[in-house]
Amino acid sequence: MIKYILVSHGKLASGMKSMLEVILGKRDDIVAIDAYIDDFDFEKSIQNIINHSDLNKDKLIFVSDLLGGSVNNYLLNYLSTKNIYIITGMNSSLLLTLLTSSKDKNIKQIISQSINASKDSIMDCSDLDLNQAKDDIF
Amino acid sequence: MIKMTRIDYRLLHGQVAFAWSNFISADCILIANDSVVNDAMRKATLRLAKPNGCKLIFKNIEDSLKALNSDVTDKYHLFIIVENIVDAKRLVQGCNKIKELNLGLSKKTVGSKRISSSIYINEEEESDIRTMCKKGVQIFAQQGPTDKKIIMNDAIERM
Repeated sequence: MIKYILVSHGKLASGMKSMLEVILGKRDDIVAIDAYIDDFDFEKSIQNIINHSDLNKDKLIFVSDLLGGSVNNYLLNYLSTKNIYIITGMNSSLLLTLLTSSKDKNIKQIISQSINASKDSIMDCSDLDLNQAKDDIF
Repeated sequence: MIKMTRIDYRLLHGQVAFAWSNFISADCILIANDSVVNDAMRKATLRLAKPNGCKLIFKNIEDSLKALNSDVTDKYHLFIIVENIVDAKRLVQGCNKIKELNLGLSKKTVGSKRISSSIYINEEEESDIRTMCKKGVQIFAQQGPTDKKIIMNDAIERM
């Protein structure tokens, strides 16, 4: 089983989870950890999730909000742990692509596709040439 | 092969592009609509929601029927989206390949009544739905793929 753990400074993670469930419906494979909004120790939450997973068969994909931020820096401790994947730069397009990609594909491949899709989704809309695109045909 | 025909007044948007097209493994989306096909701005914005690896085709209702009734669409896992019940009825009447119709989203208008969580219909639309029922089309309400699929035919006949 693949579990997706969103971790952020403040409520971005739970907000992203809410966005995902509006679009994809309720999911029990997404966990959101909002760090630094109360006394709760996010590092403990992450340790708990890892300790309660069987990393011989389960896969954990962590998605954090900020490269260089303390949340992602902490996750990097698990960089060489088997079946743990760490992505940073959380956004809607990244998560939607990640969560809707075929489970049959290789995880590294899914992650790289999702990152590319999310990069392509960031744009200055005033530069869009709305008349240029060609119509598909059957 | 037609995988799904859906009524959705927003046509292609997040829930449809990411959740539905993935759920039914669509590789081609047909937006059947008389006005969008001539509206460059609307087409351009809908195109932004096009899922990766999926074709997106815009045709008016008449040309959609021509395509559906020929064999050009057979090789696709086709996802047809129409904006409203009248357009769905026009497709159903003109094409025997549409056996199922998904009531996704329709707007609340003055005098319309709610027949499922996200579907409002007026009198004319009620009669259109009845016509489709009589033709043997299975009509089901379901907003997203994880929502419950509710077959409406019996309820419509009782209305």
